[in-house]
Amino acid sequence: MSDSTEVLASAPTTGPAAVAAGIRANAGAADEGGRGSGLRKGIVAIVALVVLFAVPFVANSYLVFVLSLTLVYAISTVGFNLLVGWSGQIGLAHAALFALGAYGSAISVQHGVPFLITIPLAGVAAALLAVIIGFPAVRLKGFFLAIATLALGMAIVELLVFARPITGGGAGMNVDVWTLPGITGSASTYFVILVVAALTFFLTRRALLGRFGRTLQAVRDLGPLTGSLGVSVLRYRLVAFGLSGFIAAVAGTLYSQLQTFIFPAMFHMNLLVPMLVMVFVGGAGSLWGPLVGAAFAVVIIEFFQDLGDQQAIAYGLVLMVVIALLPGGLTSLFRTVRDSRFGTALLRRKPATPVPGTEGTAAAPETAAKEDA
Amino acid sequence: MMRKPLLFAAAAVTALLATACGNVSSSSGSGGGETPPGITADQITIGATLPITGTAAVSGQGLQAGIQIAVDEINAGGGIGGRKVNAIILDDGFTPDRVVTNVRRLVSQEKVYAIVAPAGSQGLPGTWQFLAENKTPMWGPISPADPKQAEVYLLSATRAAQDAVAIDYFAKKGAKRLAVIKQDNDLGVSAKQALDAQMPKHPDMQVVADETTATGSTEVSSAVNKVVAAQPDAVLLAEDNTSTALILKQLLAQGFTGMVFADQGAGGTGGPSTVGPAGEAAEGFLGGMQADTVSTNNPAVEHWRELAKKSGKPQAESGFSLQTYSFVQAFAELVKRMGDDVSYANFQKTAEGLKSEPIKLGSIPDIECGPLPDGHTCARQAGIAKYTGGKWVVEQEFMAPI
Amino acid sequence: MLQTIVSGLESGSWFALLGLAIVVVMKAADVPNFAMAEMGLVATYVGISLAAAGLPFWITVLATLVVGIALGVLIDAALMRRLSKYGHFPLLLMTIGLSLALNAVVGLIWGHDPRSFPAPWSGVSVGVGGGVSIGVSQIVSIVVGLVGAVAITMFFRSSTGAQMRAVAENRATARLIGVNAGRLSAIAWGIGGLIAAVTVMLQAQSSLVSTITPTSLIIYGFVAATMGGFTSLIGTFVGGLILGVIQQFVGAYLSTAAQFSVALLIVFLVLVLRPDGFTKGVRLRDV
Repeated sequence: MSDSTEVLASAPTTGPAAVAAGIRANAGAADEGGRGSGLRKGIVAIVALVVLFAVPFVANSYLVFVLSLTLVYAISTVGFNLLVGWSGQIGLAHAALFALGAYGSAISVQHGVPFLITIPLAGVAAALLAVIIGFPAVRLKGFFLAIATLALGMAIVELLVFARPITGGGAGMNVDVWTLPGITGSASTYFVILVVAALTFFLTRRALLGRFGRTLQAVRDLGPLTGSLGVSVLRYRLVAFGLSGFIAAVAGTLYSQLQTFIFPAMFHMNLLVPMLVMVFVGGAGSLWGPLVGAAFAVVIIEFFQDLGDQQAIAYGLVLMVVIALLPGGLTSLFRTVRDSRFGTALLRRKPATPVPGTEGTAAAPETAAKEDA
Repeated sequence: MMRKPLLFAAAAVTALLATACGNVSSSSGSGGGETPPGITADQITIGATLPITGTAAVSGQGLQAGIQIAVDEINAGGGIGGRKVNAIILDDGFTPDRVVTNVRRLVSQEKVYAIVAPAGSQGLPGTWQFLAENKTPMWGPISPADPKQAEVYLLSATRAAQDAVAIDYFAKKGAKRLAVIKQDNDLGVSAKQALDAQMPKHPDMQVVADETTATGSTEVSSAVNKVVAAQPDAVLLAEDNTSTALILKQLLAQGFTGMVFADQGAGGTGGPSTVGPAGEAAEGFLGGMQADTVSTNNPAVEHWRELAKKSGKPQAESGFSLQTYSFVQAFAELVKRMGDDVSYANFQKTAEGLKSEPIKLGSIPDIECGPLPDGHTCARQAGIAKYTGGKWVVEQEFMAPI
Repeated sequence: MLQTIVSGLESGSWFALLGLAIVVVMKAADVPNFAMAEMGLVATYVGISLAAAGLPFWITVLATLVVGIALGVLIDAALMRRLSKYGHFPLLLMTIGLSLALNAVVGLIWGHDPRSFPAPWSGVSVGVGGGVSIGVSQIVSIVVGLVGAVAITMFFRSSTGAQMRAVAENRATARLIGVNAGRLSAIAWGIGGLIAAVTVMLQAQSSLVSTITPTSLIIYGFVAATMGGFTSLIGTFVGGLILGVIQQFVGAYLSTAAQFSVALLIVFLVLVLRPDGFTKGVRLRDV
């Protein structure tokens, strides 16, 4: 079966109209971003950054740690979302590439490479590996891609166990924490994470709102038909793999600094599942969703702490309820409210995208992932 | 007009920076002050992170029960020198990053005086640097390797020490061929340490099979097949409860009759967590003892058992429960000995002075911490118990490896 | 050697059966069910509890199977069906959320201690000469696995089965020719639950199961399903058996620690080299 028959086979369930609506919706969002509100948004972003910068001065180190963890997961989710949400490929080697970043950085630092340099280095190495993984994998469809990348990702993590002489094997290895002069390790790590997170969000936002993002979506939504527009589908899919791998590894380097001790069992399904949850809750294919998703996943666990032995079941149930009620993720709730009559009245402005039916607007970018499979 | 929020934020931040610089400055660590957190004239707060849910929940629930039984008993008796004990127990679900998060929460948010009897063995090393920054003592973590760090005190024989005692025992019983099944994580590393240390001391004994199984997998049959084929006299296991029970069953199914040993955590010595599921295959099984759960004529153990029965908590009568119960009691004894000076400096001084005047509880080997580098492994002795006729009996009293 | 093969075929039957359960649901409902092993675990634990309460063995077996079927149908009706229009991703995550919740429920109700399902033949073994003895429970696993596979294949030859294949081929067209996709998905989920219950029950009568069991079992189930290209029943069954035997041989002659990695590499290679399953060329009237 070729890709094209697959697309045609599953398209009728939602219809090409939904795909078109999705593209229009996103194009609308992009236009809106380019309009006069840009200045206001920039100021909001700067204020937010300044406030975040001040956190370690006032909060205790537990809160700083939780915030750091949220930001690291948010960075990683930006990469995962790029792959799953924007390019529509359910590639599940993300936890392994994240692990690669963590181990790559920790090992390099042990051999005298300055930590800050290991961030881009690990990123590039993981990007290369992701492309190598992606090269055979991008030809696979839907769940086959998911299973193949899942298997390969788990095999990579298993390799970390076998590489005992350099990784410490299953028992794990210590990470030397990089510190700014005169500042505690936790605060130094937080500042680095904050800077990297800001850069990641800024750059990805620029890329995705521009031509690159739209082409990526077109490749996702139209599949091989994009070829007629003069775009190489496989190339774009590979680029998405590489970029998401780069970001995963960057997040991984920061994670190792945060944990100060790493071992392979950290990077199994118990990491991949929350990663998927973060993408989903944030809304696959949304821009700020990764931050919402990461905050949800980290904070909810802290809140459930007081439930004792019932927290595991609470976590599963909350996840199921969110999926059942909001198949487009938490951010689709904001969009639905904003585009509803009530939300419009509240904000005293026109709906961002005049697509008939609010439900269509909310769901379209997500459903589009299905068309590709 | 657009600038207003920015200016406001900048002003606020400047004000905050001026008032609260201490939080990030590494020169004046918050724990270095004279009065440590979590202790007042009438209360002392301690904390622990335990795997109450997740794959290690069996042990986590037992560890939790032990802490609670001890705290209830201490408070009923008026607390530690008039200070009531407030124990904050967090669940880490056996996931490493939550262990790290929980320890930070206990220290920075809940402001505990000390971390007492935490589990989460594999994630725990991720907290060493943080504890050093805050100088918060960690008293009696369950079975990590000794980090040789000022804040951390190990109160029971490590897995490696238990395995070493077992190897000596095998040699004493005339075993010539030893087989090992270990997990590819810190459990396996401990077993390897013990083998490296003890095998040269027993030239008559050789390792005939050395199998490694994957963490979290219950697929052990090919390891068992290989071990049985090597015809060993004795088998040393470094696995979790479930895998240990499975291996026992399969060894029996293949007609193996030699000696089999697992450490306290894996064997659930004194309790049913391994021998229960293993059923009749557990007959003759040897378990390491960090704590004496077994003797019925030991008054300290009988006292705990009564309290545990009364509490009715899940896993309260397991070996894990006696362990944390004893650790909390030892902690209370230590704080009592510290007198009026509750500073962390005095905590360390008093603890390291135990070498000359050990804490003797009767239920666990005497606690005799000394100065670093090796003194914070406060107990080296381990015992061995045998499961015969449906109950655990002491096979070999507490002793240190040769 | 013989012991290795028998052990391999035994665990291979479990992998194969769970793989079949995954494929059946995948065919009719288009969901990769990551909660399959947990469904079987819940059903098996109900059976174990009934056995502990003193009910006769065959009644408990029957109860386990019924719980498995009911669980499948319930999950389909309550959770899965209305999500299907939102695409693959919410469905995939819903099964993951479900697996977490079911696992936690089992832990809460029955605890985390490993348990076994006592059968009349538990612990009995037969000597086959050469000092090798084979447990009756091993033989039971292998035979039940084989019977199950044949039964499912027969089912897909029936008219309901044919409709299911039509849905798998093309959802929209199937609806056009008057196939009730909702009913079919309920049937598929019921069958999936049934097979999952059988799988975990077989494992429990031979060794031990606990809340840890599903984690590795589900991966092996997916490996088996992958070897059948997620469509071929025969491919899945044979794939599961081969996987079990390979595992044992890797464990016996290479290293036990490498078993999992080898299984994962097999998946990757099969998918990349033969995305439609390794039995594609020899497929009979499958799909």
